[in-house]
Amino acid sequence: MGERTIIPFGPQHPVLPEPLHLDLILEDEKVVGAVPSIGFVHRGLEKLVEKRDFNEMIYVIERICGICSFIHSQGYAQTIEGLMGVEIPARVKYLRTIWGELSRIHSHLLWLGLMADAYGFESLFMHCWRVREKILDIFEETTGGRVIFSVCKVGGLWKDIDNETLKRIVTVLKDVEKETKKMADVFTRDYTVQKRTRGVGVITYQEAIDLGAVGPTLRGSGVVQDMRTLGYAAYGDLVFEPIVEKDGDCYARTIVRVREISQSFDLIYQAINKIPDGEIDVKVKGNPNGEFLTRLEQPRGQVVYYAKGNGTKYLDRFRVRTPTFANIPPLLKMLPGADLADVPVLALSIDPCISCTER
Amino acid sequence: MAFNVISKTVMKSLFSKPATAMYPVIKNEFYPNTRGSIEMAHIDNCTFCGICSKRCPADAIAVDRAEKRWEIDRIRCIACSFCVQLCPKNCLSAERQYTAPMTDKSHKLFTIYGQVVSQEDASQEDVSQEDA
Amino acid sequence: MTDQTFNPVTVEEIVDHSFKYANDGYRLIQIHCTKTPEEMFIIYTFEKLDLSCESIKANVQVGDTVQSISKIFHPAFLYENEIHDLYGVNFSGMIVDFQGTLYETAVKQAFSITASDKE
Repeated sequence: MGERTIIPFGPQHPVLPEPLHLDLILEDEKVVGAVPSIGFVHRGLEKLVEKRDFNEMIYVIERICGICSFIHSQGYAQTIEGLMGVEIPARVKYLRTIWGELSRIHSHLLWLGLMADAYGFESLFMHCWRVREKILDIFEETTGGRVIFSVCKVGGLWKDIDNETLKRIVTVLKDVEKETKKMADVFTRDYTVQKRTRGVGVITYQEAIDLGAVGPTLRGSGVVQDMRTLGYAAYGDLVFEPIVEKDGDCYARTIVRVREISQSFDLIYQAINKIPDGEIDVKVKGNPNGEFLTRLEQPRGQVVYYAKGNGTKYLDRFRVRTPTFANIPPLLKMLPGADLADVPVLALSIDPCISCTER
Repeated sequence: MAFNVISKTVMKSLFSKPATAMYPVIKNEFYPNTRGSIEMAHIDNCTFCGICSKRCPADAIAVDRAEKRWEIDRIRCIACSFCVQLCPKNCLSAERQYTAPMTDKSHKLFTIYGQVVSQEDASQEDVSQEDA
Repeated sequence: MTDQTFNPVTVEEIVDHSFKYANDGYRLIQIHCTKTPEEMFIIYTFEKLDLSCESIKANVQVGDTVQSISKIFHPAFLYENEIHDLYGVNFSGMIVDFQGTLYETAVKQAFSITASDKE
């Protein structure tokens, strides 16, 4: 048995996009324990809900995170609509689905790039982000923003996508899909990638459930759970199956995300084929009152929103339980037993988004 | 398992045009929808009702009805275009171009329209509009 | 929809209820606090793998000590530390206790009921 050393990992680390701090307890090269600390980017956005009108708050909520911004605004809108009993038009549901799935593609491509960077595969990282750029262009063309769309509102949407543009998006996406396949091939077949990810950070089926893992971290361990099967937005009308891999290692988590990208392309094609014409917003009258809980599937996993209104235009509480918050305990489970050199790969395999986590 | 799956992509990009644009030579193209910066487009229509300033999520807009002044703090503005959609007279617009980089927070912080112009260069209203 | 039911319980019953949910195959998806100008509530949400979801709600006060459920549901410790830092509710028996250093805010217990709320 070697001597014990404590190595601080983060909050500033070349591999981490965001400030997560881990105190790694090492015995020689092996990690035997880890203590996390977060709180470096805590902004108290949830508190702001008491000072902002519930219509304005959507712009604050979507700025919780730069990657899942659309699904945050969608979730907020859905929660408040549920609270106020507003029935939104079908076209809105489909458009939200299309933007949500585009967000998922861009988030997963971003993550694949970061993951490649974590094991030092620079060219793969750049190619993933090159492909992702086309998706961001679609966002800018349809919503006006590359990252923050500001297109959702309580009771509908600010902007419509006309059917011509939707057709054009399909042709662009076919190209992107082809490019993505090439990248996906590297992740699934390349020897060096497998050398770094296979058998690393294994989480068993039962552990994933007990530790409260969500999203690709949970599905990578063979648990079938996808919030989209609840049928919110237009998901009830679309045909899809949650994607599940059995192994529970970093490779399985990568493959879940790779396969989710192609699933998202398929969902977008389905949604564009089925999208009905109609209004894109309804008038919202009155103020929210009561409490409401919503669960959605973000690219990183399940997100929980809770809103409590008091009959005025200011909400009492808006709570966001983001996927990374739930994925920190599984990360702590993965670390003991791993080599120090694998820690960056492990930390990234849960797709950490610390700004989301701390809000 | 296979070795060097990426080599085909790498070879292809070696002999094709770069995916990035040579920025200062080739300017980025913006889309008609792009929310670059919020501008007061039709000051004549503005009634200085103050809805934009009251509803702004970032408190970036200040409106003074008595002095007929409309100011926007470029540093605070998050370009969400909520004000553009709310304006009852449709006098605000979201311009495609992003705000130019600034070296200080002084007079470029505000665009001042109406009868009162920027204190620093009160002589030329047009100049202050261009700067902003 | 069971999503929107918040069963009222007392603080002492939380651990018993958690045990029952754990035996029924539920897992914890979140704990949070909410407040009105007069009262504070702590809400626990449990979810099954078939996506059915239930919540329990208990009335708490700043400075109260609630027994931790982190021995039943491992991930609870993060939520409990968060509530301790932002709402000033104490938890006894947490498996990992950050002792108020998870979120170091300029104002202690920034989210709890303040004097301005009571006005």
